[in-house]
Amino acid sequence: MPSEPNCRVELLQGTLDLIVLRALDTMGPQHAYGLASRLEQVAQPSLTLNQGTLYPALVRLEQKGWIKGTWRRTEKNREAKYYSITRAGVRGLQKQSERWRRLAGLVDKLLLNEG
Amino acid sequence: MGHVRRFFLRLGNALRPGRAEPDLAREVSSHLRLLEDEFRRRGMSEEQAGLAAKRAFGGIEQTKELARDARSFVWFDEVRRDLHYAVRTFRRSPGFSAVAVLTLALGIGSTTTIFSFVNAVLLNPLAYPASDRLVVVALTMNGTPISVTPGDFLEWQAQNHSFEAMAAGTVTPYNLTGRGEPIGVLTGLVSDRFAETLRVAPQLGHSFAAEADADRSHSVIISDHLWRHRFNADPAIIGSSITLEGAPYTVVGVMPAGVSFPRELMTSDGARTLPDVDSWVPLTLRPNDRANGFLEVVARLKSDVSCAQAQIEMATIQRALADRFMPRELRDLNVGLRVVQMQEQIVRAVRPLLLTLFRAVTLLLVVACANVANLLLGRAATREREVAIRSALGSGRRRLIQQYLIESVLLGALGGALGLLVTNVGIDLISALIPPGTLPRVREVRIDSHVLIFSTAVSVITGLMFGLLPAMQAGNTDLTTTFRGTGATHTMRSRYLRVLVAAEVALAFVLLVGAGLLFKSFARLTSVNPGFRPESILTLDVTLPEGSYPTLTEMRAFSSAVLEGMRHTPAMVESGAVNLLPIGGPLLSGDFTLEGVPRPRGFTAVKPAVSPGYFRALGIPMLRGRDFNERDTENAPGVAVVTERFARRAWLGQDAIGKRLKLGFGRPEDQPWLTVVGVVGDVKQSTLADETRPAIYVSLMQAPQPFLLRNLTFVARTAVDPRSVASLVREDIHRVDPLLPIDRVATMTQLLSDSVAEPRFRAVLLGAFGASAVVLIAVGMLGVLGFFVARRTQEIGLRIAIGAQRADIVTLIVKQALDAPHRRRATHLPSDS
Repeated sequence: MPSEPNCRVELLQGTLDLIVLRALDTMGPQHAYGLASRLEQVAQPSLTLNQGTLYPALVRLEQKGWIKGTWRRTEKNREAKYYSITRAGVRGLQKQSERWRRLAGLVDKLLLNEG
Repeated sequence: MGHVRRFFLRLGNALRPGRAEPDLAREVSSHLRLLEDEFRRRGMSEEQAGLAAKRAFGGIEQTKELARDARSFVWFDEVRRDLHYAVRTFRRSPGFSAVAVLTLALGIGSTTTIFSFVNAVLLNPLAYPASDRLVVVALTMNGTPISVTPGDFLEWQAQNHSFEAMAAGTVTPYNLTGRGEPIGVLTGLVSDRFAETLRVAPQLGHSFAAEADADRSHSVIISDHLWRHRFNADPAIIGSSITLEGAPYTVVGVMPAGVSFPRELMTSDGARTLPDVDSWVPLTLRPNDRANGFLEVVARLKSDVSCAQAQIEMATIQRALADRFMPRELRDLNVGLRVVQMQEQIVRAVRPLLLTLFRAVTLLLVVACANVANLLLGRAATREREVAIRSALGSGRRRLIQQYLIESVLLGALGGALGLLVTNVGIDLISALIPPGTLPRVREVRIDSHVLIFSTAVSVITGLMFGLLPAMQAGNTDLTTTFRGTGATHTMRSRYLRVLVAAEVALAFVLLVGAGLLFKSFARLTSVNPGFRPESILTLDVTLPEGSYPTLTEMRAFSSAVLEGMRHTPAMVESGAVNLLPIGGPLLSGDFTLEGVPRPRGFTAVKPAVSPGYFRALGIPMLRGRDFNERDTENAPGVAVVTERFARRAWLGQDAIGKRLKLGFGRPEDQPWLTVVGVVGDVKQSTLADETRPAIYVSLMQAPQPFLLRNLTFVARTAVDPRSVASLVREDIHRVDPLLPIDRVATMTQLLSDSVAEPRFRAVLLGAFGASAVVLIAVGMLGVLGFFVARRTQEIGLRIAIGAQRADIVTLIVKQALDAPHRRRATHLPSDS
C-alpha cells in the first residue's frame, strides 16, 4: 500500500509469537507490559501496536507449553503476571528462528532477483 | 507436541469456559495499572494517565475477545451462544415451539417405530452364532412347501458333504402337569444335534447328545421363558423331574432366551397361531418312515460351501431318493428342493410389507419436515427485523445461517427425543395389534443401539433439511427493504407455501379415502353373516395320534365317549364334534358324484364330518329334513346333509331329501351311496371374506377314511361364559384319553375376531397414517397462516384504523386459508392485487 502516509510494518502471522519468545529468552521473565514496552522500544517508530495485541500470542504460547506465567510483584509492589520461557519454549524458539531465517532469506533472494 | 497440547487445552476451555476468564481480567487490569504508573511518572495527572493507558492498551473488550478466541474454539463458543439464544427464542414463543416439536416427534417417532421393526426383523442377524451359515432345506410340491419325512432327512444327513451339521424337528402341544396349574407348552420334538447345528448351548445343564442312550428319550430341555415363569429361575431344576403329557421327564438343560426351533421355520398358515417353543424333547427318527412328512430341516453350511452349491448337491440327493422310494403315481407331483438362508426363510414373507410401510412412513416424515420448514418460514417473516438488526450489527451471512440451522437442529433433536417416546408406545401398540403369527421375530423388536443411531441421524438430518430454506432466506435478508417496512411481495415464498399445502391436502385426501374404504370393507366384513351364531361357543381342537388311534373304530369310540361326557357337563346347552370348523382358514373343496345327473363343471363341495347335535351347537339352521342321529352308525345306510346352496345347485329346485350322492374319496365304484336326509343353512367355511361354498356333511360315524378324523374340534354351546367351562370340557376329554394333548381352546367369537385381524390391522394402520396426515395439514396451515398474517400486520392495522371490525379481519384471513388448499395452481394472493 504505497499510498499509506506513515510506513507502518504489518506484523506477519506468527511473527509476534517468535518475537515474544525471543524477548523472553534474552531478557528473562517479563510481564505483558514489559514485553510491550520492549517491543515498542526496539521497533520504534516503524511498529506501533496496541499493547493488548500481545495477549492472543501469550495465550497461544502458554497453551503450547512454551512459556509459563506466574503471578508476582513488581519492584513497585504492583502485582503482575510474569512470563518465562520453558525448556520446550527454548527448543521451539530455535526451530522457529531457523525456519524464519530460511523463509526471510528466500524472500530476500526473490525480491533481489525481481529487482 | 505443542500443537496437540494446545488443541486439547482449547477443547477443554471450549467445554468448560470461565476458568481462565478471571485470570485474564486480572492480568489486563494489572497491565493497565502498570501503564498508568508509567504515564504518571511522565508527569500526567491521574485522570490523564488513566485515559492514556487505555489508549495505549487498545480496546479492552476486543483484546479479551481475541484472547478468548486464541484460548478456545471460536465456532464452539458461537455454537454455545447460538444454542442459548435458540432456547431463549423457543421460550419466547412456546406455542410455535410446541407445535414444531410435536410435529417432528410424530414424524421422527413413527419413522423410528417402523424402523425398529425393519431393524429387528430384516436387518438384525438371527440370535444364533454365525447365523449367516444356517440354511433351511425345504421341499415343495407344486410350489407349496411340504414337510420332510424322517426317511428323507436321515438319507440327507448321511449322504451330504455340504453341511457341518443337520437337524430336524417338529412341534407338538404338550401338557405340563404337577407343580401348579396344568399348562400347555409347545414342545419341539428335535433330532439329536439340533443345539450343535444352531450352536446354542443351554445356559444351564447340557443338550441331549451327552445323555446316555437309556434315559435320553425322557430328557427335556426347557426354555428360558418356562424356566423363569414356571420354575422361578431355580437353578436346581437341572436333574429334577417334570411331568409332560403324564410322563416323567428329567430336565437336562435350560435354553437361553430367543430360541424357538423349529417353530420359527414354520411359515404355513396353520403355524400362524402357534406360540414359541417352551420345551424340547429328543425325537427318535425311523429310517424307513417315508410316508409321514412332518419335519422342518435346518443345516449349518461348511465354511467353504455356498448356499447354491449345497442346493445343487441336495437336489441331486433328493432326485436319487425319489427315484428309489417314491411311488410311481406320485412322481409327477413335481417335488422341488430348496436350500435357503434361514433368515431369508423366516422373513421373506414379510419383507415387502415392512419396506412398503417404511417408505410410507418416510413420506410422512418428509411432509412433517416440510411443515416445520413452513412454520419456520412463517416465523422468519416475523423475525426479519431481528435478523436485519443482527446483520446491521455485523453478523455475517454465515453467522446468520448458522444461527438458524442451530435452531432447527435443536428443534430436530427435541423432536427426536420426544419421538423416542412415540416409538416406545408405537412398538407396543403395533406389536399388540399385529395379527398373531403374521410377523416373525416380533418379540425381538425393541429400541436397540441401531434404532438409537437411526433416530439421532434422522433428527439431525431432518433438522438440517427443514432448517436450510428458512436459513438461506434469513441469510438473504435485504436490510433497506426490511427497515423501510415495505418488504418485497415474496411471491416465491407464498407460491412455495401454497404448493406445499395443496400437496399435503392431496396426500391426506388419498390416505383418508384409503383408510375410509378399508374401514368400510372391514365393517362390512364383520357384519357378514357367518351362517351360524358364534356367541357362547367354546371350541377345543385335538389331534388323534396314529399310535393310539390307528383305525376309524378307535376314533369313533373316542369322539362318542367325549360327546357323551360333554352332554352331562354343567352349563352345557348343546355339544358336538366336527373335523372342519367354520372360519378355519384355507381348505380344499372336493368332488362328488350325483345319482342320475352329471356333476356341473367346476361344482365342488366342502365335505365336513360332523356328530349329531353339531348343527344345533353351532346354531346352523336346519331347513328341511333331519339332523344326523345315533342310529346313523357305521353299518346303517349311508346318509348325508347338504347345504341349501348345494341342494339348489345340484338338483335345481327339486326337493333334495331322498336324493343320493357319493363322496369323492377314492374311486366312485368303491364308495357307498349316501341318501340326503336334511338341508341346512349355508356357512362360511373358510373365512368371512370367502364365497359361501356348498357343503356335504357326513356323519362322523360314517366318515370313510381315518385321515378325515385325525383332527377333531369339539364345540360346546354354553349357558354361561364359554371360557368358564373350558376346564370342565378339558376334563371330559382327558377322562377318555388322559394323555391326549389339546391343541387349542378358543371361543368362537375369538376365532372370528382373529380371522379378521389382518384387515383390521390394515385399516387401523392406514387410519393412523391418515390421522397423522390430518394433524400435519393442520400444522401446515398454521404455518401458512402465520406467514400471511405476519406479512400483512401493517395492512391489517390500516384496515382496523379505517373501521374494519374484528370479524372482517377474521373473515379475510379465513377466506385466504380456505383458498389455499383447493387451488391446484399456485397463484399470487387475490388480495395482494
